[in-house]
Order: sequence, then structure tokens, then C-alpha cells
Amino acid sequence: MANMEVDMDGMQGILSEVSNTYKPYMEKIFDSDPTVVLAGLKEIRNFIIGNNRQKSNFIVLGVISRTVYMMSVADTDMIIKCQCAVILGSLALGSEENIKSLLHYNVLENLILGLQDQESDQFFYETCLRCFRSIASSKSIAAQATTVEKLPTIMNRILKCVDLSASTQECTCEIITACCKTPEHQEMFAKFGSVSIVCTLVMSPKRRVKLRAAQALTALCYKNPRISSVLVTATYGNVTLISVLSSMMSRCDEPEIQLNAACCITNMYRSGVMDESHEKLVFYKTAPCLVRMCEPGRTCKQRILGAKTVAYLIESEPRLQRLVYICEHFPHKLDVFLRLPQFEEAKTPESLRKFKEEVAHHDELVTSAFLAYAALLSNEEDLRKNVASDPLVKRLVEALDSKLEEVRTAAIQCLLSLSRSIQVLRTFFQNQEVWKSVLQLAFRDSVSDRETAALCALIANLLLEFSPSRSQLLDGHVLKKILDWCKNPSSINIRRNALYALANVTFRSNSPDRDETDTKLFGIDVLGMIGGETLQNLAMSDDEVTKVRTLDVMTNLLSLENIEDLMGKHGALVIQLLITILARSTNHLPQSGGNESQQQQAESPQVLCAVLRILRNIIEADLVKTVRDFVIQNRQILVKIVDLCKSENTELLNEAINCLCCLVTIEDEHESNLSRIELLRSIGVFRVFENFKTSSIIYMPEKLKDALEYF
Amino acid sequence: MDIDADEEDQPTQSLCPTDKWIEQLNNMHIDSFIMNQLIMDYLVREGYKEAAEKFEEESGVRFSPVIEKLDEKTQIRDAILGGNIKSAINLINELYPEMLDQNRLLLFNLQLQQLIELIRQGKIQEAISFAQMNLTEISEEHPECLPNLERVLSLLVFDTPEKSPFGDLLKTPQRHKIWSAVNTVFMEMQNETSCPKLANIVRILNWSQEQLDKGNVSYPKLKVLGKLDFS
Repeated sequence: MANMEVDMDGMQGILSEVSNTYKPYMEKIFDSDPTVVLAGLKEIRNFIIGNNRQKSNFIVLGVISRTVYMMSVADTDMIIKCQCAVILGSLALGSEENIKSLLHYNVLENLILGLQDQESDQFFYETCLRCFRSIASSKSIAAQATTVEKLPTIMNRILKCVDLSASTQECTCEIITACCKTPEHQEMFAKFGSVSIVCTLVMSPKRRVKLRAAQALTALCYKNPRISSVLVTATYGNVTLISVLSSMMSRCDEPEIQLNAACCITNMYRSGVMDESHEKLVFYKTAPCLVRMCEPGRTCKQRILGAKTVAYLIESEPRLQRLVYICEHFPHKLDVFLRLPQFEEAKTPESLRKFKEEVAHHDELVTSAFLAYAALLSNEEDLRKNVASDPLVKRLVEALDSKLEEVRTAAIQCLLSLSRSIQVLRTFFQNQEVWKSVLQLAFRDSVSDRETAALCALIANLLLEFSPSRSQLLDGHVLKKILDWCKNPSSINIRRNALYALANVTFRSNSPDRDETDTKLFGIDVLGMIGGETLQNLAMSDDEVTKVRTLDVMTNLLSLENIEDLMGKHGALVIQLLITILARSTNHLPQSGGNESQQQQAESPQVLCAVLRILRNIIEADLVKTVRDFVIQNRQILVKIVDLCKSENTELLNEAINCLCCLVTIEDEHESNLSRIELLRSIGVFRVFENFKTSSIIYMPEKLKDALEYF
Repeated sequence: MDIDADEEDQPTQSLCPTDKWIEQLNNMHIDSFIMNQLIMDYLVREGYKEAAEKFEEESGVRFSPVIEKLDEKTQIRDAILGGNIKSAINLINELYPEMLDQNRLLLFNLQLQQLIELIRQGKIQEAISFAQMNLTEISEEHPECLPNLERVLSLLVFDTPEKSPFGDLLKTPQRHKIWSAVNTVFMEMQNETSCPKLANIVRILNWSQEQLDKGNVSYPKLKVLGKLDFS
């Protein structure tokens, strides 16, 4: 208690010292004489500009409320209003605490009133706009959210006054860049007509305007084909926007301009609206430009943005991956990202500044390098073989232990790309015991959905049959975790990837070549562990991928060896699921008039193939013929299967015929097959067999021939 | 084959003898209009408005101040070169209120110069209070500034700081350095380059001579720019 009193006294001592020192300046701005007020405002302005501590001092003394009041009073001299706006603008360039204080006093409302004031002069409008922009661009999420909420009331006015000066042009673009975070924001800005205005600003001869306009366009067209297609065709006079952005990437322009032009082109390209005529621009200008931005001589922010944009550009395009790989020794540039900055090298003020910058941005540099590697190595085996190394994998494993989710997730994505190589799985991954760190991460609490989804996918690859880590992970009880992930209620990606992992786990569990670990799995009732309700939800999911993967798992589990045992426990559920899915498929006959577009299949061929495959396995393994008889007695299902024999999908057609063959050829030992055969004939099975007996698209002609003999 | 041959072992190539070089230089004709434009560009970018106006009268080259707010910039330059940094900061805040908030290092350098002026005037107590109030925050955020701050504060130790090892800080070129830094940021805010074309030409000249020296080429090197002293 005594200590607290001392601390309180100390705090009050500081406050009273601040108050005593700066109170005279504050008193001036409460004076009735406007000249004194103006002088006081200018002195306060000179104190707070460039000094966050002074900003906080004067906020404590009440400068915000006083300046906001003066701005809001109509009689206040414009010159005083201008200085009030300048002070608020300076506070907005301070710390996050300063921004919070501004929001607390509803400064945004007053700024909007200031912007809307038709009587104000240009300097006042510019100052209010700059303050608005500073709040929107701050790191405070609350500030961004509040600004976005208020934008629609003022956007028209901002766009109308955009050409007042270079300052208003810059600020307008910065506001758009800061507030354009979601597709809804993009549509809002597009609705106001921002896109065409920003396009003209890109053509500005003024460097700062050009740069900010390019940044705004990049934000507007990110993952937005509609806006991107507008930009691709945008022309002003005789000049296309694309040609302007292309010229901005030339080396004689400064790096910041080159980088932002390249980012804009990247976003347009990835939106899928560019055709082959733009290939040269993307492949031979944009990609090399982004690679150049990753050079050690660039600032950390440029390198981070460059690497992340390269990753986005190439992530689903093997040709671009190969091109970037050989472009200016790109992997070597990424290696430098991972290097820890050395204090010993910081001998001069400039190198000390660089050291400080690298330390501050080290985690971001590492994240962006991992993302770039992940994209670069996602498709091509020879690139993986050339780039993978013990030091790189070791670095990735260390990053799995990082406190930052971004770093861990990027490392997982990079490991996922590398894990697509058998050679890498068997060498570097084993050398560095990747499985250990992955297992630790899997059992960690409070991991985000995004990270978990990536981790699931990685584990799925590590569980492939040829992966040495498979037995190590299974011995580490990863199966339990995978089953939990299958039930994840919030993320479809986690469920999908977990099912893929489960399919890989169960793939060998019933194989005659299974090893010791797989033998252990053989005895585990995985279907029981998944649970009936979960299995039903997954198999009946609206998501195609989830459904297919669930059926893959069931196919693996319901193999010939222990199928009786499983059907004994879960037969009713399995049959019900299969029948329900089959029943949802529609008629494949063309409608009268031959309008094929009216054919709509509720279930995809992939799903139906899986269902028929499982059904066939069950029928073949069912010694007492219960399932076979159940299907035969269910006319609706029989008709569906016969219907599927008319499918244009060869695989589906074959599975359907194969299934029917089973129903025909699996005989009862002591009973007559006649009634069964006649029933199948009446459904149309004989006709189907006759139609296809000489067809070349049938995979098992011998089996079909045998089945026909029963008729 | 010796791949890593010493540079000194490489043969010297001779381009042209000195007298022929100078003869060719003299035969080159550069239009006086272009020369005058270069001079006008220099005067305008460096903020010498009165000189530019006078030059316009003499040469006939039109003085078109593409640079905005040239008058105010001239006032700021005069304040800095005159050692009145407080006034300069006030003028900068009037003209571009965001400039020093967005360029904290520039503000630090201006305030450091203000500290130097206080030391020059012998106002030691005021200098110490000023440093405590204004320079601690930036130097905490930017430790690379500490060496410069230490140099300036070291002046306080000496009875005659102008004779100390750091006496150069008290000389006029130091003020020019500060003005040059301020001018660069000014021009950047006005979407202009601060570097006059003449300065670029000198840079290209120095670079070219460096490249020729690296290639061991013998040529009449311009040693002292102002005196046209060819070696």
C-alpha cells in the first residue's frame, strides 16, 4: 500500500510538472482574443509536431476537446479552424494511444463536417482530409473500422474535390487503399465511381500521386474480376492503363513505383481477366520486376511486399514458377531474407539504421520468404529437389516453434510444398525430424483455423504410404487428432484436409502388405471412432470435396478383409448412407426434345462411383447375401443403378455395370436364382448387358460375358 | 591462364593525348541557351529566387517557378543559413504541417542544429534543457542518431568549442547541410527532384572518370572541377 501511494504521488508529480510547464499554452487557446488563441495554437502545434510525448501531454491537458469545439463553432475564424485541424492532424500521426483519444472525442464526425463545409477554404479542406486519411491509415483496427463506417457519408464529396490539389489527390488514394479490405469495400468504392477517378490519377505526372493511385488500384482489383476487367480495358485518350502501368515498371523509375505497378498487374492477372496478349507483360516484365524488389539493397518493406507478391503471382502457375526460379538467382535472394542481422556489421549510423530495420522486420521477412518458397516449390519436382536442403528444412522446423502465427503458418505451407516430393520426405524431412515438431504443433491448444487447416494438409502428406514419418505420426496418436478435426464445426478446409489425412491413414490399413503400424490400425474401429452422426453429416455434406473424401475413407475401411466385422457393427448406417446418396441422383435420359441442358445431376459422377464401389465391395463380401437381397428388393435403387448405365461418364457407367454384374453372378448355394434373374431382367439389366457386351469402353468384358450367361 | 590477374598488370590503353582532348573540347559547341537553362534550373531548385530573377534579366531565360511556394522556401533557407532554426521550424510547420511529423529524422537534425546554435551563443543551460526536452525521444526511437547527438553534446565540454575536435559543427557548411536535407524533403513533397541538373552532370562526370580509371585507360582527367585542371 505504501508503495502504491509513492507511485501515485510520482504519477501526480509528473502530471503536475507537465501541467505547470504547458498550462500557459493551453490557457492561451481559451482566451477571448482570437490573436492570442491563434498564437497559442501555433505554439502547441510546434510543440507536438514530431514529438509523441508532447502529443500525449497536450491530450491530457485537453487539447482535443478544445480544438474540436472551436472547429465546430460556425463563428470561429477560418484561420483558427485551420490551426485546430493542423493540431488534430498532427495528433493523428502520433501513437495508437493518441488515435484512441481522437476516436474517443468523435473527431471523425467533426472532420466530416469540416469536409462538407462549402464555405471553407482549400487549406482547411486539405488539412481535414489529411487528418481523416491519417486516422484511416493508422494501425488501429478500431480506427479503420470507424472510418470505413463513416466513409459513405463523405465519399461523394471527397471524390468531387479530388482535383483541388496534389495533396487531395494523394489523400483520396490513401483513404481508398487503407479502407479497401474486403469485396464489400471494393464494391462500395466502385459504386461511388472511384475506379475511373483513380485510373486517371495513375496517369498523373506527379510521382507521389502516381504511386498512391497505383496502390489504390491494387487494393481495388484484388481478387475482383469485375473491377480487374474494367482496368484491363481502361483507356484514356490514346493510352491504355495497362501501358501506363507497364512503363512504370521500367528500371529508370524508382523502385517504389516499379513495385506498386507490378503489384497492380499481378492482382489483375490473378483475377483471371487477362488473355494471352498480356502474357509477355506478366512473364517478362512483372515477374522479373518483383524478383528485383527482393534484392538485399531494397528496403525491408519493399522486399517483403515483393516476395509476397511473387508468391501470389506464381502460386498456381508452374510456368511462372520455373521462370521465377531462374530469374536473377531468386532462391539466393530468399536465402538472404532468412539470415539473422549481424550487429557486428553495424559500424556506421547508416548500417546501424539498416540493422535496426532488419531486426524490426525479421519475422515479416522470414514469413514472406517462406510464402515465396511455398509457391515456388508447389508444383515442380525438380525445383523442389534443387532448392530443398537441410539448412532450409531446419529453419522451417525452428519456425514451427515461433510465437507468431503468421510465421508458423508460412512455415507449414512451405513444408507442405516440399512434402509433395518423395525424395524430400525420405531425406531432409527425416534428417530434421519434421514429424516431431508437426506432432507437437498438432496437440497445441488455441491454434487458429487457418493454421490448423494447413497443418492437416501437411500431416496428410506425411501419412502417405511411402512416407517414413507415417509410422512415427501414427505411434504419436495423430489419428485421434485427425478424427477431432473431421468434426471441426467452423472450418470446411480443416474438415476436408482431415478427411484426406484419414483416407491416407486408412489406405494401407487393410492391405496384405501392411506393416506393424498399419496392422495396429487394422484392429481399430475407425468408423466407430468417427461416429454415426459425424459420418452422416460428412457424407451428406453440400461440399463435394468433403463428400468424396468421406466416401474414400469408407472405401478404404470397407475393404474385403474385415468387411463382415465392420458391417456387423455399422452395416445399417452404411447401407442407409449409400442408398440415400444413390436415391438423390436423377434420371440420365435426355428430356423429350433432347434438351440435355435440363439434365442436372444432384450427385457428381465421382460421388456415385465411390458409392457403387463400396456397395459392390459389400455385396461381394457379404456371405449371407443380406445386402444383395436388400438391394434387389429395393426396386427404386435397382432402377437408379440401371439408369446410371446410361451415363456418359465412362467410369460411372463401368461401376454401375460392375455392380449389376455382382447382383447377377453372386449366387445362392442352395436356392434357385431364377426369380432373382427374372426380376433383374424385368428392370432392364439384360438389355443393358446386351447393349454393352461388345463395347470397347467396358473395363471388364469377361465379367459382363459371365453375367450374361445367367440370362 | 591467370584468371585473377592484378589490376596493375593490365595494359594501359591510351584514348587520346591531352592537347588533342582539349582541342576537341574547345571545338564542341553547346548552345548558350542550354547553359543558361541549366543555371536557371540550379538557382530555382536551390531556392535562390532573387538570383533567378536577376539572371532572367541578364540572360533572357524565362524564370518560371515551377517550384511551388518559392518565396516561403527562400525564407526558410535564409532562416536556416542565418542560424535561426526555431523560426525555420515554425515556417516549415506553417507551409507543410505534416512534413516534420512524417520525417522525424529531419526534425531531429533541425533540432540538433538548434542545439548547436545555442551552444555557439554560449547559452549552455538553455542548450541542456533544450536537449532534454526535445532530443531524447527521437534518439530513443532512432539509436543511429546517438553518435551525432554525442558529437554535439561534446561541444559543451570545451571552453572554446570552435577549437575542439568537433569545431566543424559550428561552421557555416553545417547549416548548408541542414538546408540541403530540408530542401530534398521539400522537393519530394512537391513531386519534384531536389537535385539540379548541373549536379547530375557533375555526378555523371565523376562516375565516367571512375570507370575509365578502373579500366586503366589513360586520358586527360579533370582533377579540379572549378579550375578546369586536366592532368
